[in-house]
Amino acid sequence: MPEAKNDKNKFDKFVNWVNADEDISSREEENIADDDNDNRNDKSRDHFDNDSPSICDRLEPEDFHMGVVDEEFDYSEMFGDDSGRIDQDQAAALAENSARRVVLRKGVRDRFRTTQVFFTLVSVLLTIGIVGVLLLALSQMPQFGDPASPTNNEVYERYVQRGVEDTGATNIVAAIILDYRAFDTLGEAFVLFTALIGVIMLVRTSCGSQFILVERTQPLMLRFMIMLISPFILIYGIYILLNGHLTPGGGFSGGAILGSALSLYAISFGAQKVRTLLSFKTLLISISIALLFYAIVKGYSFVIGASGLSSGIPLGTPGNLFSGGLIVPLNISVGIVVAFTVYGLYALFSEGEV
Amino acid sequence: MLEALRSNYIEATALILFGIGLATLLWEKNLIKKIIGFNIMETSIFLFLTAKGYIAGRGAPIITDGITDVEYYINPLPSAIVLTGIVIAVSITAFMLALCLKIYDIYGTLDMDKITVMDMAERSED
Amino acid sequence: MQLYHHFPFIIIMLPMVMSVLILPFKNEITLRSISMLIQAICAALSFWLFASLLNSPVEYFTYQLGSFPAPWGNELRAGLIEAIMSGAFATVLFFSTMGGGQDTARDVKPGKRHYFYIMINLLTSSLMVLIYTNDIFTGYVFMEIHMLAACAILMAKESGETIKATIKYMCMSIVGSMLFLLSIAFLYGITGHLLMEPAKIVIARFAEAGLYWIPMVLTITLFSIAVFIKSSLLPFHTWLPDAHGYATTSVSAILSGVVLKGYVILLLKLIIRVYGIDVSDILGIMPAIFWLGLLSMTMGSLIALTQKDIKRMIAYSSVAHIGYIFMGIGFNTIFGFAAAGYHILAHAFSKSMLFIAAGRFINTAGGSKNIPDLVGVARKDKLAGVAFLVGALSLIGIPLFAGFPSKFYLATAAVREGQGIWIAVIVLAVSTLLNALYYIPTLQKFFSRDNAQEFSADYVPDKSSSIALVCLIIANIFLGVSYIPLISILERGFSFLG
Repeated sequence: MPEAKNDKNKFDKFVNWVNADEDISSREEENIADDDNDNRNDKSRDHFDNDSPSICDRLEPEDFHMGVVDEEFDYSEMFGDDSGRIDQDQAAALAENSARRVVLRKGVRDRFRTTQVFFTLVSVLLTIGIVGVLLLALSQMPQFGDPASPTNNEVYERYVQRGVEDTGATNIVAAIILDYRAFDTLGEAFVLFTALIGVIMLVRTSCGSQFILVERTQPLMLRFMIMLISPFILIYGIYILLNGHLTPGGGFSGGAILGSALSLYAISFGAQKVRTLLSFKTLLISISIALLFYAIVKGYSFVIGASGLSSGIPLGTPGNLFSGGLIVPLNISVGIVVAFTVYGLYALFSEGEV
Repeated sequence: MLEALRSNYIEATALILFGIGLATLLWEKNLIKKIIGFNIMETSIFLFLTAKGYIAGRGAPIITDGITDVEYYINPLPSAIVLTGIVIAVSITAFMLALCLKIYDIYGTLDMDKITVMDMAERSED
Repeated sequence: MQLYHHFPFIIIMLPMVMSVLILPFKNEITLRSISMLIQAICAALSFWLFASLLNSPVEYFTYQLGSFPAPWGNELRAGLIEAIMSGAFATVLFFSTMGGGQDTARDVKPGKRHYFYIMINLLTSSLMVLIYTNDIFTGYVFMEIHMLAACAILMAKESGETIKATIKYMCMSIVGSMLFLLSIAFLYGITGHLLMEPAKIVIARFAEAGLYWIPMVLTITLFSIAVFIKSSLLPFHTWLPDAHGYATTSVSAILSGVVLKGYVILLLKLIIRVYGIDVSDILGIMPAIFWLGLLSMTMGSLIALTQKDIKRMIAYSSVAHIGYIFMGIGFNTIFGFAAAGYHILAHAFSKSMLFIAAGRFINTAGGSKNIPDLVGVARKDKLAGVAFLVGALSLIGIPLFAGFPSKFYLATAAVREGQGIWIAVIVLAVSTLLNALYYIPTLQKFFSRDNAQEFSADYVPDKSSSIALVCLIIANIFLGVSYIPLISILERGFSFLG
């Protein structure tokens, strides 16, 4: 029960703030300094009853995303004075103000202290022990940069000597991650997808894209520079992505650059502008299609390879842009996944909505 | 042992960083600092792996001019491992940060000490 | 190349592809049915594969992922053990999803349901990869997906306790993953291989020549500690009671029944296939596993005795039973591994049944999880009472149920092995007694006639959980009576695992 009450307060404060049409920073300071419970309740109650706010009607208190209006909650009072006791009035006042009803007992605090000291001691000893053992093991390992170390075996030789003729790509690292060991990269793309879905589950409110957030406009200089530079960043990202099999780069780096370009644009011009191009649905659908494309194409390649047949995909001449068999399409799909995941994570963290 | 460590100083630094990251993850109370500790740990393992791939006197594994002789290129496999590992580190960090947001929503603090005390007190109240 | 050679790949790819395709669906029944269908297909294909392997002249086969053979490309490997474990886990996943479905519909908010089922599918797929992979690094990547998916389904309930439990689980799991990755780095540094079989050849050569001793000990220790943390062996078990206690019913059943065991299978594969039984004997990790298993068996049961919350009690019982499994591994003989494998199957089927039954009890009692509030609840919900009875008797080790053969074989392995034989048998006996000490009074309370409280008739358990419970009871009894063929199959499988 107290949880819902607190959320209602926060919600009312936010509605109050949206309707007040003031600058964000001054409003926050006022709320933090405003410690009086009664004052808060009065103001917000009026505003909520009178106007329907310019947010969607389906918004409920539990959908409210924390991070717009902040409450400073000082728990240092919980531990009382040095003797560990707090008087009845203090306890009553705390219990009323706090987000959760807490019964304070002296025994709890003392028991907690002892576990803390024990835990810290164990952590320190454990860490020093682990580092010591690791360094001891390192002293018996092969030397750094030694050509005769066990890692330079037939695996390494075939990758370098026959990498180009096996896969058609001159960047051997790209050949490894997208051809020799493509299953790991499939797993990696799915790790990104899992993390994005997990963050969506946690952060995204159920209100959907009708939630209009009041955003501050950035200074003109920033907007002007980003407007000039964004196309170049995008071109650079696409170049890195497409040339992944010829020079260092590939789907992951190119995708990260594209994702940061989108995030930069969202920071300077507001996420609403990016939302017109890239709504939540578009983002999820694009990521899904890219992942499915990777899974199906590589699945075909795996089954064909396991059966011992030849895959019939031309490798092209090494050094050309369209060479390397399947590597370019796979790079593009990985790039899409990474770019949209990076942008999606930025948007979810900064606004709670893509 | 120290002479052996001196020639492998990059890997030794990586292992010390691993220890620092582990200590931060276990020791620090603030959740954001725990995530930073995890990132230090992960980055140190990448440093370790990258150092494992290096061979003295050879260049990056991009085949140029059609020379596929082993004498000219370092080991490309650890770089592939690190590429995958970086993406996994980013994903886990993102997930943990979202969990921190949610914890702040519910408990109002990011300090694991205070959260544990709140839970302990509530549970002893039942 | 026979048809069944492609099955491991299909078992892995189908849930993965489905997890992406499930995105547009919103209806809970549709989502649950699709996920259950996928799990059923995986189970059916696994059992078909198992039958084919029983009758085929080769004991195992490797499946090359791509046009390049190992050690340059990735590969999967399927043998008897992998087939039976993946079949059993897919079945447990199927029944857990079915049995907890009503609670899932209540606990997970409508907007988040399709994400929940995406995570269930990803969990299925990553679990299958952990079982079938022949490459250590692939195992690591999918271990991360597994951890993220398990954390995601854990926090789907979105209450304060579940989020805190998720953070605790994740922090400890991350330490485990980092230790695993560091171990891969060291192992690569000395062998130069990421695939299991080529690495074994190099390690055998080093073990004979006595080279790289400390790094090898370090790598196997770090792998073991990583799996201990993720499988919640004492003293790394602190995340388990919160996670399993506060999650929704099907998630508790999945986490306890299946997620913990996937890592154990991975550790078994690492020990047998990368190091080999002889080398790991010399490296000296086995006594540590053995003693930690013994410690976990006793301490887990001791702490379970003090619990008043039914789900936490069952969770601590999981800690104890993971101890049994690790004790079986600690014997370092094929028969010990087979006994541990039997206990993996028995525990998976029993524990999920316990959690589904406990979920129904909690709902009948109106949401209270404390045992004093659940007195007499089995009189109201008879099927769940019978299921809880069967599960508890199985975990105590009563003959006819699944737990008895596995405990019997663990004791037999101790006697055969000769290493720490008396301590193992004594601890087994003590632990069985402790198990009985907390299960029997609980059962007494559930079935007691003299309850003062009336349980409201608001809650009607739906048919799917009843069907799930009945099927799990049948599976339990089947495992309990057909132990002679099963243990010989497990022995045969483990002898060819390496």
